[in-house]
This record gives sequence, structure tokens and C-alpha cells, in this order.
Amino acid sequence: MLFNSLVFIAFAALFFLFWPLVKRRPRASWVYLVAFSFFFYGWWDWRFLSLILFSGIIDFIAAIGMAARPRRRTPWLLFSLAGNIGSLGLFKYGRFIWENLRAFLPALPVDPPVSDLFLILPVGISFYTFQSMSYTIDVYRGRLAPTRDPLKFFAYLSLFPQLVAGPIVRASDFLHQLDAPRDTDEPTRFRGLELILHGYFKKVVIADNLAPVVNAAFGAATPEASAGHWWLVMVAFAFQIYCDFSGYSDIARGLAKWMGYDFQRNFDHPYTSLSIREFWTRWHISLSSWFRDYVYIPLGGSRCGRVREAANLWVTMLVSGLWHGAAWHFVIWGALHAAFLSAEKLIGYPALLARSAPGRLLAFLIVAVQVLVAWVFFRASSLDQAIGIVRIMFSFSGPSPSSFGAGAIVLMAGMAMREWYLYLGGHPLFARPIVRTAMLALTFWAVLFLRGHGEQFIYFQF
Amino acid sequence: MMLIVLWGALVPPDIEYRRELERERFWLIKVFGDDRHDLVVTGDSRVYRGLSPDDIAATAPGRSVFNYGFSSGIFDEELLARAEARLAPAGTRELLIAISPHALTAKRNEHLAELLRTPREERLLKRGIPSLPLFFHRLSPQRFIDLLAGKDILNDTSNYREAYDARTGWVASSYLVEKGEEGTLRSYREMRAKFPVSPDRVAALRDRVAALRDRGVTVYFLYLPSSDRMRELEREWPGFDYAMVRRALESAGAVSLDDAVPPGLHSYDGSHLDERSARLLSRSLGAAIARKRSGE
Repeated sequence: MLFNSLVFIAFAALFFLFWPLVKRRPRASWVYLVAFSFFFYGWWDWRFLSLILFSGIIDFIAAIGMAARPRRRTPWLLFSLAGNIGSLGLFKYGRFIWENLRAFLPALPVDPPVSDLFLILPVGISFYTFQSMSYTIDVYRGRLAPTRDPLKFFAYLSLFPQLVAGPIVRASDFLHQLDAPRDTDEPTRFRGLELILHGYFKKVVIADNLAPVVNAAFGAATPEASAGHWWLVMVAFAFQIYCDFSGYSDIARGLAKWMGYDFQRNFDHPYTSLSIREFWTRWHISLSSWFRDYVYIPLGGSRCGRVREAANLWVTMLVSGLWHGAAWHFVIWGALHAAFLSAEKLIGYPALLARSAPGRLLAFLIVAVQVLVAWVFFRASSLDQAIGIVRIMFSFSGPSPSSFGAGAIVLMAGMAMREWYLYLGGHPLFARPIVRTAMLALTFWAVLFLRGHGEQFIYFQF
Repeated sequence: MMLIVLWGALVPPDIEYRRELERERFWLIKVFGDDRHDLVVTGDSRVYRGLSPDDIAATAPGRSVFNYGFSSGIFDEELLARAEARLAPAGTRELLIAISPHALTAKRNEHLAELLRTPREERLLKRGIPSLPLFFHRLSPQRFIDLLAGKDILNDTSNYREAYDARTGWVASSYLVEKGEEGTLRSYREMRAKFPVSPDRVAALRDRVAALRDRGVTVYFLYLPSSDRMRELEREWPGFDYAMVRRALESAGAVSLDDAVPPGLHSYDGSHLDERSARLLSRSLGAAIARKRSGE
């Protein structure tokens, strides 16, 4: 079920109605969490509950096996990785792999020889498999003691606020919280409410109102031949995906706060970045840190010479691109970011530009252009479409984008100002309780009456 | 809370939102409704805009008629099965299929498929409690700016006029100022280049008609009228030979109503009939059905 649906509101209301009765009793709370989380996930398609159970059981057993025989823990790790990557490979990448095989072996049938069930992408598979793998890898590294209680493990793995679109929660950050959730005093509840309402505002007011503009542009049979139009469309998409995804993360964090748990921040004003390197410390932090800790660093990171460091970076970013979608244009998106990061490393221009205000402005613009161009490949439905759009963008010609719409421009300008305002620390006036309450009331009004049509969360498709 | 109650109660929903709700409710009732009828007409957008059930019933009395047309409707197994399912179990049991080359391509029924994916809660809300989404009416940022600028957002000032009748499944359509048919012809030329008529689709339709006949359903068909230029374009649609389609359907026991198409019909965009023409055509078809039923 979507966060922005009445059925979820009813579900959450029911959850929090009885949560205070069980939260202080660990086992009872885990049963409660697992029951509600499985219901939440099964609402979409009950058949895929078996997949999350399968993934979870493999990793639960593997972690205990590793702890029981530390000297022979490698086969357990491989067992865990095989199970998780295998299910990702089948459900998410099966058709992609098959189609690319057919490019070399055209005699192969059009559809892969598997049941149709394996060609449906289960919602959230990329998130919970990564979350589960981080658990077993941390146990393997000796950084975490495994839990011997399957209920506790599944409460961690399937917790509904972050199950289908993150943030990817590390077991080392969360397992201990399941033993004793914090008291939800009034400031915590208020902060949770702020996160939830701001999350809904970003999703249903900003993202869902920008979506039709972006969808119309990308869905047109013949793309508009105006560079100005496409730069505006890409700014709209940049805000759409940011607000869609960070909105979901905020709602997840707010719900967790109400439960008495803490999730780490997943976005930190990424569009204020002055380098691509900085961008990746602010965008989808739980995923980028996952790739850093479990792919880049194990490959050697930056500690094995410049050539190897560059190779490690490229592998990490290409895999990150592929994580987002089983299509070559996602890989190109990852490759573009790898290229930008490599250029920064090689030339070192961000540090040079940071020394002066005009330099920082230039750095901001460079990052903006890089991110927007890369987003073209992320959003396009094919490589051809992406290349065609980028060509138009850099033609710097065509009619003026007079039909773009004042509403969309107001939304984008408003979000840009809000991001910079929050990044710069805000104003003491807005920290006063009465002002915060008034702002929340206005936010609630906007969520109800200025909402867009109601689009699925973009990251559900990953 | 006061702000929300006051806004919901005192600020009326703008026309765009009301039309959107009306449109969504129309399609949900068409797909998920359980009413049954004596005569169901089915096909693509030329059907749901071009055939008025009330006007058919006016000249074919004693029948309850329903329009089961969809946007880019394709005559596949699913559409025909669902159209048949809307027929009353007893009584006259008639199905009218309106042919166009597009409806005989190998494409999927995407509009119908999308509607079938509507979440349960949305169906319940929009069909069952329409007043709730009306109270919590939303306003797009553009419309909000228009409201602040003093523009009229409550009345229909659009050029394209559509009246969605959920009871009959018909959308009466017309333009205040018509834009001509060039745009439509261009898009149909593109479609024609990409999607030929599928012989398998035609054969399957023929077989389905024969099966309907065996189950006691009388099947009528016609090639829905459009503009002369559209007809000319469709004559060159790869794989489309209406004479052959007609023979196939008649061999399966379907009855042609092509002779019942009156002269003087007008399409506002080259493809779809305007309201006046839709009513004229419908009355003529109703009379023809009544004559055929009474064994002229």
C-alpha cells in the first residue's frame, strides 16, 4: 500500500492505536511489528511474502552459522550472498540478462523460460535484500553479534516504514533499538509529526504536481525541440525525484520516531552540493554508504594506487546504476557520475573553486549541470531518447519555453529556496513553537488541498 | 482543523477537478459496475463517444442499452468477454461491435488494463463515497495561481466539451471551435505505420462471434463512420480489408448494420462524431436493430 493512500492512513491509525500496549514488551512488540509489516507488504501481492521470508531465513541462519564457527564462516557468507543476489538476479535482472543474451543468440525465445511470476518485480526487493546482506556481512566482519530470535530479525528486516523504499537501515544501528524503544515524549512526537507532514508535502504537493509536466515531456511522441524547455523539464524532474524519495524517507523517519525508533537521515540538501563527491554524501545516504562500505572499500577503496582507486570507483558507480534499474540507461547514469567523480579527483577543481564566492557559485552551477544531464539518462525510457534530449539541451536553441506553466515554476522556485534556507540553518523565528505549529497547520492544509494526482513513489520500481 | 473544514466546505472544487472526478467515476462504474443490459455496444473511442445508448433505446424500444467502449479499445478476448458479461442473462441479449482497423491490431487493451489495476480503496472511494473526494478537492498550483489572479476556475471555459454519462457509458463530445482533423490524421498515420491489422485478431474475432451466436447472443457490427479523409487513410491500413472482415463476421452469424448509417454525419476531429451526429447515428442503428429483430 502507498503511504499516500487512505488505506495506509487507516493501517497506521490501527497500528498506533495498540502499539503503546506492546512496545515495552520486546517479544510482543516484535510479533506486532512483524504481523503489521507482513500485512503491509502482502497488501501489494501476498505471493511475495514468501520471497522476503526466503531472503530473511537464509540470512538469519547464515549469521548464526558464522557466529557458531567463526573460522569457517566464509561459506555461510557466500550462502547469504548467493541467496540475496540470486533472488535479485532472477526477479529484477532476469529479463534484462535474457534480452542481452538474445542480442548474441537471436535464436533464443523472446520470453525467458521461467514462470511469469519471476518476471514481476517485487516491490522493495532491492532495499530489503541490501538491508539483509548488510546484516550478514557485518556479522562476518565481527562488527555485529547475530540475533538468535527470528522474530527480532524479521522485525528489523521487514519493518514497514522503510521496507519498500528505504532508508536502508543497518542492523548495527537498529537491532539494539528493538530491545528498548525510546519513550515518545511530546517533543519527539511533534518532531515525528513534522517529518511526516513535511514528507507528505514534498511527495504529494511538489513531486506529484511536477510529475505530469515531466511525464508529458518524456511521453511525447516527438520531443519538444527547445533547449530551454528541456532544461526546465530536467529541473522539474530533479525536484520531483528528490521530493518523491526524500519525502518517503521523511515519512518513514517520522513513523519510526512515533514508534520510538531512530532512522538516520537519508538526504541532506543534496542540491546545495559544490562537488559531485559532496552530492554523494548528501543523496540517498543509506545507499551510497552501503556501496562505500560493502563494495568500494572491500575492493580496496582509495588505498591501492590511483589506477586501482579509479577502477574501484567506476565499478561501484556502475553497480549503483544497475541497482536502480535493469536497463543500460541506468548504467550510463552511474557511468556519468563515475566520470564526474574521476574528473574531480584528477583535476581537483572543487577545492580550487571553493576558495572564493564566485568560485563556489561556479562550482554549484557545474554540479547542477552534471546532475541534470545525468538525470536525463535516469528518467529516459531508452538510451536513444536520453541522447536525443541531451542533444537538444546543448543545442541552446529552439522556441522559448513559454508554455511551461507558472505553477510548476513556482513549485520549483519554492523548493529551491526552502532547500537553501534549511541548508543555511534557518531563522530563529521559525524555531518558535507557535510558528512551527502554524507552519504545520498550513502544511497539512496544503497536503490535503494542493496535492497532485497521486502518483506511485518513483523508488518503488527499484 | 478549522482551516481544513472551512476550506473544504466554503471553497468549491474547481471545474478541472470536478471533471476529473466525474471522468474517473465514469470509467470505474463502466468497468466495475454490475448492472446488466439487453444490448451492449463495444469498441474503441469512436464507440464511447459516438454511440448514445438512450438514443438507440429510443428507436429500439424495450431494451436497456449500455456503451462498453474504451479508449483505443482492441477486440481481444478480455474486452469481448467483459462486454458479454454485461449482458442480461435472459431477454434479447445483443452485442454491437463497431469495427475500426485500429481495433483489429495486435496491440493490448491498455486503457482497460489500466482501469482494472485501480486499487480497491480508490474504487470504493470514488464509486461509493464521491462526496468525500469532493470535500477534499485538490487544486493544482497553476489553478491556485489562477484563483489568486481572479480567473474563473469554477465554470467550464474549455473549448472541448465532454459530458460523461456514467449510467449509459456514453461521452457526448464536441468542440466550441473545431481545430480540424490534421492532428488526428497525423497520429493515425503514425499508428498505421507501426501497427498493421492482425489476421490472428480478425480470425479470433470471427471465432468469438460464432461462439456468442452459439450461446444465444445476437451480434451486430458496423464500420463506424468518420471523415472522408480518415476513411481514405484507413483504406490503406496494412492488413485492413473491410469487405473481408465483413464476410468473416457474417459467416460467423453476425448481422451488418452498415446500411443503417445515415448521411450527413459530422466528425469534429476526423475520427469521432460530435454529439448531434452521435445521436443521429444511434437512432438510426436502434431502428435498424428493431427492424431486424422483428424480422423485416
